[in-house]
Amino acid sequence: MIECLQLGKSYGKECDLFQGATLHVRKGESLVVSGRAGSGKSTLLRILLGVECPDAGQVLFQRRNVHEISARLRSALRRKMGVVAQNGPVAMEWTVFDNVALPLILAGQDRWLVKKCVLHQLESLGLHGKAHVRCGALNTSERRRVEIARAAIHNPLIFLADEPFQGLETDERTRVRSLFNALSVGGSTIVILSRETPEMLGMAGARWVRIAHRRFIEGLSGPSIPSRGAASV
Amino acid sequence: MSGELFKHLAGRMIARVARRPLAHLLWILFSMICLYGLGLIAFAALRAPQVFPAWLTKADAVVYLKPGASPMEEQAAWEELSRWPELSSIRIVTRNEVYGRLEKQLGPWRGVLSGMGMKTLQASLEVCFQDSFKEQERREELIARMRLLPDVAEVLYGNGEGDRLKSILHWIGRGLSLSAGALVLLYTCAHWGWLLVLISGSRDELEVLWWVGAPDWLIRLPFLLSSWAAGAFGAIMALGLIALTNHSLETRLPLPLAALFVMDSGEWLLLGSVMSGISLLTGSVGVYLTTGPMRRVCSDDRSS
Repeated sequence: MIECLQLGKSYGKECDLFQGATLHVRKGESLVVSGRAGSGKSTLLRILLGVECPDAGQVLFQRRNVHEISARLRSALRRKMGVVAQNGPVAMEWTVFDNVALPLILAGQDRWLVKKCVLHQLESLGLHGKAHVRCGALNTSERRRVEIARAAIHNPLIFLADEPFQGLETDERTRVRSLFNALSVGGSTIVILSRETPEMLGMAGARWVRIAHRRFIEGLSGPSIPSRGAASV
Repeated sequence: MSGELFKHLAGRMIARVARRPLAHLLWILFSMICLYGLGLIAFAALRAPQVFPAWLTKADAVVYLKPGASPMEEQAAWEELSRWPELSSIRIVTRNEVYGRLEKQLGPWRGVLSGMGMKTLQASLEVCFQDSFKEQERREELIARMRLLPDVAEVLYGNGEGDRLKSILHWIGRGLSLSAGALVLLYTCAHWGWLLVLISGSRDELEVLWWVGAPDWLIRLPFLLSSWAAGAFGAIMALGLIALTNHSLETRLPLPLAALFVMDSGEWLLLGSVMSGISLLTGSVGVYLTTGPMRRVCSDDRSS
């Protein structure tokens, strides 16, 4: 589904990320990419989205290089994805409903279906009763959940999330985790970028890849398991 | 376009207006002022040929016969001048033709002609000189001789006035075109600036749209529609202002002048079309010019 081949990205001499690392993400797979702050998780997200070009290598989505396709095709690709970025945007003047419904509206879904799906999604994330509240009036955790709800509402082919649990309380994390499970059952490919391990995230079944020593290293389970030192995973 | 998408676009537009009602009102007023100026220019262009009729420019001199001269006398004057070798052409303008011209020039006020009666109208002979008689001195001598003819009331310099009129018309045309061009440019630049303000005020919206993969046209459409709507409001208000100005001038000025400010439905349609067309065009150009800044806002990354 996603192939990062011989990836390289540097920000000057002091910050050299990935160094020709390779990563394959299979269809329907749940993957947690973890690493320290500054290890390149957010950069990886930007590269996967086509926002940022790698200095070396390529990113293939369904065998097409995301950095070589036209802007129109990239837009179409983003419609197939669900993206939760760190400090991602939420339209503050719109209501929660309008924000969450947007991907379904773009997909041309019927009004009744949009309403049904959005209300169900909001309820599952503990935002029931907030549908017609302006996003500007929400707290940080609620905004985060709005963003997650928006990214997942259309059962995307790929769900990419950068620190999705940041700023969430325990019960809110549980709700979000359930949503991820539902997405996974629905066949979505899930890629979570986080400082935490799958166990800490409560996603023990997920494949774990660490970013360490400027490479992707396959993790077995838990943070204490040593890396296998593979440059290519 | 699905109903939900239409509702979403309309919602975005209304929310934007509701967020900054005063700014939108000011923009509509500015549009109105620009379009009012353009409307006045278009109106002046419509009226210029009536104020300076082209037919005055065709002859070197116009020999006016006495009012009430009979067709026989008109014919006699024509025959007399036809014998003059200094003249290259003579054209008789009968009282019926004068009536027709006045009727055309007065437009909706032509009814006043019926009260004047044909007797008050003067037939005339439009004459052109041979090239060798177009110099000032020889022309004046010829005109002095024409004035001595029987049944001639007055002889006016057609060509001299014509040249002046042509020149005036030329400069008026140039002035109107330049003013219209400057106003359109100003309006387009203002559109551009206005859209930049809207874009910076809708930054988060644009980013959300970009993240969910909204196509370019969907991101731009509400801005385009906002521009067009403000332009349409401005055009309607400007047309109303022109109607008000014309009405007040028409009721205050004496008759021949007042007639200039009466507009028929065709002229209103033309003026309305010109103003709406300009507002649509400048709005579209403004949105096109802001594509770059819009893309920069959209793809600006906040994930790090």
